[in-house]
Amino acid sequence: MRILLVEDDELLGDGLTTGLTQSGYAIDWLKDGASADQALKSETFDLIVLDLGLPKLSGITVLQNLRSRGTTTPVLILTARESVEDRVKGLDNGADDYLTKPFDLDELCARLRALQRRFSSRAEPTLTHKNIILDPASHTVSLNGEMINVSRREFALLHKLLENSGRVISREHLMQTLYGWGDDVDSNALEVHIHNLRKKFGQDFIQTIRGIGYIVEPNNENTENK
Amino acid sequence: MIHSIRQFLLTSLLISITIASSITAIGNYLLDKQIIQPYLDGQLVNFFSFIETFTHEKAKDIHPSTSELAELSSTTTKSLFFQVWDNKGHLVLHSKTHWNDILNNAPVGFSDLQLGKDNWRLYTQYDRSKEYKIIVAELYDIRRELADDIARNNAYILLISYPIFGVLIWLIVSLALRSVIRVTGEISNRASTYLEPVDASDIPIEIKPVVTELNKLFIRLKLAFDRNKRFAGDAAHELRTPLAALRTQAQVALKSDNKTERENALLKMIVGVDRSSHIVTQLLTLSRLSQEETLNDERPLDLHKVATEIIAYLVPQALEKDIEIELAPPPKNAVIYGNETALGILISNIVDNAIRYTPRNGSVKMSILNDGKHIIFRTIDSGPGIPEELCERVFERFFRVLGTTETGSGLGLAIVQQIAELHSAKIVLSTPPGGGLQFDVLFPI
Repeated sequence: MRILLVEDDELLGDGLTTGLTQSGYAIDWLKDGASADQALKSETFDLIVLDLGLPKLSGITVLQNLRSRGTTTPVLILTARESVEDRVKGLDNGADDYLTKPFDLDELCARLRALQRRFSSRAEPTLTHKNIILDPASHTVSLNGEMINVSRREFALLHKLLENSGRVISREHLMQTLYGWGDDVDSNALEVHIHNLRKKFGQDFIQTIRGIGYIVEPNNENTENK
Repeated sequence: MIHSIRQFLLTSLLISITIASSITAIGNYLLDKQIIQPYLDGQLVNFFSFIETFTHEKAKDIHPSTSELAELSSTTTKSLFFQVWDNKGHLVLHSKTHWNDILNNAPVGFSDLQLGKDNWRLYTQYDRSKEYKIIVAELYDIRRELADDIARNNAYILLISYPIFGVLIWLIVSLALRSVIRVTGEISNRASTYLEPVDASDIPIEIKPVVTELNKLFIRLKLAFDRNKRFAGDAAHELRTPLAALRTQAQVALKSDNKTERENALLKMIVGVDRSSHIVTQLLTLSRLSQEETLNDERPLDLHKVATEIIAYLVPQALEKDIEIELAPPPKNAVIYGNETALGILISNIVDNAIRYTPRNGSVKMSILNDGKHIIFRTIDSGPGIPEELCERVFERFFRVLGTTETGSGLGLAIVQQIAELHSAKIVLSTPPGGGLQFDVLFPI
């Protein structure tokens, strides 16, 4: 999952970046409204965590611009403004959730998972694909009821693929999901992770579509009746 | 001390009326006596004429019949008697009473006489033929009784009018106090947060100053109240982000299984706590200053001396960043009238700010100048300066120039401005030749 974090406070931004990375997200952290607006014009994110009191361009404006471009990416507002008017204003301008500072990191993560779930039109908190069950909350994956050890990035990759089962996901999109801008990335890092996942869950589990990307075969009993 | 104006006016006016009407009554009583005296003397003379006529009629037969005497006697009462004496000194006619008192030597005209316990008014005169001396007398008591009766009636009238006076005074006072009662009601029904001025129209001039002063107080209270409310709101808002940062870093440390990551988060928590305590300290300073309208403990101070002491504390901070820091030699006179602690905070905040925002190897130069009208505390730094359009806003509470990475509280310059205001000093920001920021505080001499 790739998250854009827009927060002008050094200490909080740093804490959130580390905290969300621990939960397996790839974080891109921007410290002002103008650069966030710019980034959102050219890049795709899975989730956006947005502060309202931002330098250069207010969070509300960033949000309005985003929605006016037709982008549906879930946005969670994270702000010190706690009044009902502020909450209403935030939500009415296109935010999907609103959390006031100070907050609990676990709650933030849970809300982000909920936003992601709703965005992909899922009802159950866990993702099930044939004999694989992935639980985003506890960060665990099981195969035939047995826990499988996966790294942080492998988990994120699996999550993305299962969520989009039946659809081809481009290599670039997957890279963006796994890595923020600052991350040092090996050119064949993605292939290594895919290889590891195939080793753990079966060779034909993830198919390579040459020149385009990767796909996980749709789960017939599950995805059809969604 | 007057506890109730109404009570006070009622009793004092009733007492005044009593005193005034008592004087009137006594005066009337004395006057009545003077009026009654000649009137009753006239009646006495009439009585004399009647006796004189009677005497002439009976002159032929000087011994009147008993029936005639009885008739005459009936005209006299206990309080009235007469005697008629002839030239030979015989009592020829007399009333039923007092015929045995020998009065033929009574002087002619009006005279007073005491018989036993009683005082009598006498009128003695010869008749027209000069044959008889006629003495008529009336008891004094009757006169006093008459005067007393008049006085008593006056007193009765006064007594009856007392309640009427009371009710009238009560009503008049109530009417006069109506606006006071209105104002009282308006104030006593207020919620403690409602501090709008009292309507001062149709208020009598006697209590208008009270209402005016009260309104002034309301305005001051409202300002202070608003200031405190805004302040508390600002403070709570500004502490939310540092607290959120602390909580997040703490949770990161708890969750992390990586030693470096955990230590890093803990170190950042310490930075966060320091920042929060800095904000709290600054908030307290500002709150303390905001509550004062004037400074106490003001005295003449050598600004250069104060600056030297304060800057000494900040030198290590400058040296850490390899910033060149200096204080120019003082002018002849650098004495201003002010509060030493407050001025120390002012200097400390300005210089601290300059050091914070000046990059490594920069310079911060302070000087104290005397231009004849002001003592100027000037700080010139080689930092990025403040864009002109933001020069006003930097003094707002919690305002921080965008893009700065320094972790200030956003309160330092608000404090500086507050202290400057308390010293009637002016702040001028400008860009010195070569860039940076020139920060002048002008204290009037």
